[in-house]
Amino acid sequence: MILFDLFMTGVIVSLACALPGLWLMLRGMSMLSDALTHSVLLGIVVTYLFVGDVASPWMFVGAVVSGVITALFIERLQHRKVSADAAVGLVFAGMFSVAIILITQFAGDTHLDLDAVLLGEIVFAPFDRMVIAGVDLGPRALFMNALVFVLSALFMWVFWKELVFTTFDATSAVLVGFSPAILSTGLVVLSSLTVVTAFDAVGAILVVAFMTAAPASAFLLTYRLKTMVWLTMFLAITAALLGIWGAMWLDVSVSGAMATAAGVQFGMIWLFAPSRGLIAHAFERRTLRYEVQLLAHLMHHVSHKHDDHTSLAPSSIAYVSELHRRGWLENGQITMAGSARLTEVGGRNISEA
Amino acid sequence: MIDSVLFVIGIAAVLIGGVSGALGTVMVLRKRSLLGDAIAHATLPGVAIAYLLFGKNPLMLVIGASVAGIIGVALVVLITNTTRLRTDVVMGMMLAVFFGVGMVLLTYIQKLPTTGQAGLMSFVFGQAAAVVWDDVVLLLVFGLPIIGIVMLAWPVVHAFCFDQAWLQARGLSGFAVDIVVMFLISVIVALGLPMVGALLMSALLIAPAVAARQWATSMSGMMFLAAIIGASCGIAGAYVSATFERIPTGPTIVLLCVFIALLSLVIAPRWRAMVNRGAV
Repeated sequence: MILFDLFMTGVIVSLACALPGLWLMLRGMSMLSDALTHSVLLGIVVTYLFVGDVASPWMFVGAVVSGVITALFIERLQHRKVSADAAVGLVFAGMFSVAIILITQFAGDTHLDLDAVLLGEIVFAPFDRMVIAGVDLGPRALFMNALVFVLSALFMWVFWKELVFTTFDATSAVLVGFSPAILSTGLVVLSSLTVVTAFDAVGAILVVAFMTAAPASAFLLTYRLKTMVWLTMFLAITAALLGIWGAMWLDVSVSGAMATAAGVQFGMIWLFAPSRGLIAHAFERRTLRYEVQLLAHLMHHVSHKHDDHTSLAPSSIAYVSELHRRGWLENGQITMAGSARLTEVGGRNISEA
Repeated sequence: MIDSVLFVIGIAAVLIGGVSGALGTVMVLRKRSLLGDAIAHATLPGVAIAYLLFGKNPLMLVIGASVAGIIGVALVVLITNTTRLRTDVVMGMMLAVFFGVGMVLLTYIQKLPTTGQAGLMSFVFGQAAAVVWDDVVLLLVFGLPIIGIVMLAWPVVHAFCFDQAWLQARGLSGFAVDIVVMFLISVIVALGLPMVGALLMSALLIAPAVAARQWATSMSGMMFLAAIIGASCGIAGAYVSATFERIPTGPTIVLLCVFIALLSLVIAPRWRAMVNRGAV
């Protein structure tokens, strides 16, 4: 049962992160997911110092406030002619530093120590139960992350049209009266919520892996948006399962292994994806080059009389025999001085080229 | 008589801050700030693997960290060039995944029955107290020559930032210079790990340069100023952290740098306006 809860929590955390991560990626805001995960920590720590309880709903308020402040801050800095990436780097480093100093200062409190910040405590998640009115609803982390996941899914479902429109054609969207800014803010709020709930389980930094890897992998596999959403969720689940299984097998950090699995999964897809993977792509390029060379030879035979040719290079002979094999040449053979006539198929291939 | 421990820490902080401030100038001008972050996070698995293979040998740890950092950057570049993915998402993924791998290895190492692995976790946040004379020697041998290389190749570095056409006219490819710069960044990041830590090392590259950019009128001036800011924040942060209890070194140094950068962003334009009006 504990094992089942652990696997379920991992899967749900991974899912909850992947969904907002996909939209941040599509809107070119992935840098923000990086910045948010670092800066939301400050909101969490400050709220914790005031409230003294990690399970308090105020944590969400603190996280969302710090998330929105980060986004605004980055935007303000960009008006001051600091390039976007430097602005992101400055803001998250500053807020993260303050958070770490505060945590170290008030270390000794059980729930917020540096290990928890880095790795989370997913291993202990099954023991922290969510009990409402005497009914055990499952591990708190599982429950909260499921809640955020449902919220993200609802947001996506309700605003699907607006999201698609403002993401892929922002200019027209503005002209028609949709505001990309409102949806972006919505995404920032959602992402902050996601980070603060996932943080407990997997730590602040590894959240980035779950927000980027599954969407990026899905992006390599399809052009269709709806397929991409389903694939993102599927890959988020498989990465989590693989990671947890690997961590149990090797007895290492569960969240670290989940991030590793997400990365390995991306690497596999990058290499082996059916049509856009590195290997398929290289193979396709080679085939294409071969086809082009074949056609070049074919054209050569049609346009030249070959009076000056005394011999054919071995590679040429290979091409010519391939042309014969495909039935593109009419003559059974090509003399050294003669030209070959094309068959109908060969002629069609030439004109297409 | 100066306390010898503080002396070592001070020299290390000045060297790390100065060199990374100077190199950060190139990163900021080339709009590559976050790549430094990717390199810094990517160094962790290198540290862990070097420890597994060679034990706690400072030189090997630095080499392992640099190699891992370079592999991380190479993967980012390779993936962005061969897919339709944007750099930011690839970088975010790479830094988090490498960090995850590093964490897996570090938790594995902590379970080993050998001793001495406790110090490895300080590579994440940095720990001034953990800096020893060996680290200073490494900084002198590998860190200072970076400044020398930049000064010797100054026209190339300058053109790399502002005039890629000049590079091509001279028969140099921007890509090759890029690789050398990334290599140098990886080295200084690896050298800075014991003091500043993997999580915040990139900020020590960016923040002094952003601050210096608000004041300087030339690239050489910017680089000089960034080195000064980096070095002084380094020594101030290391001193504060070493003197007071429970103040982590990396975050303190970085917080000082970011504070100066934000202050410069606010003050510098007003200062310039005052100078223009002839008020000063």
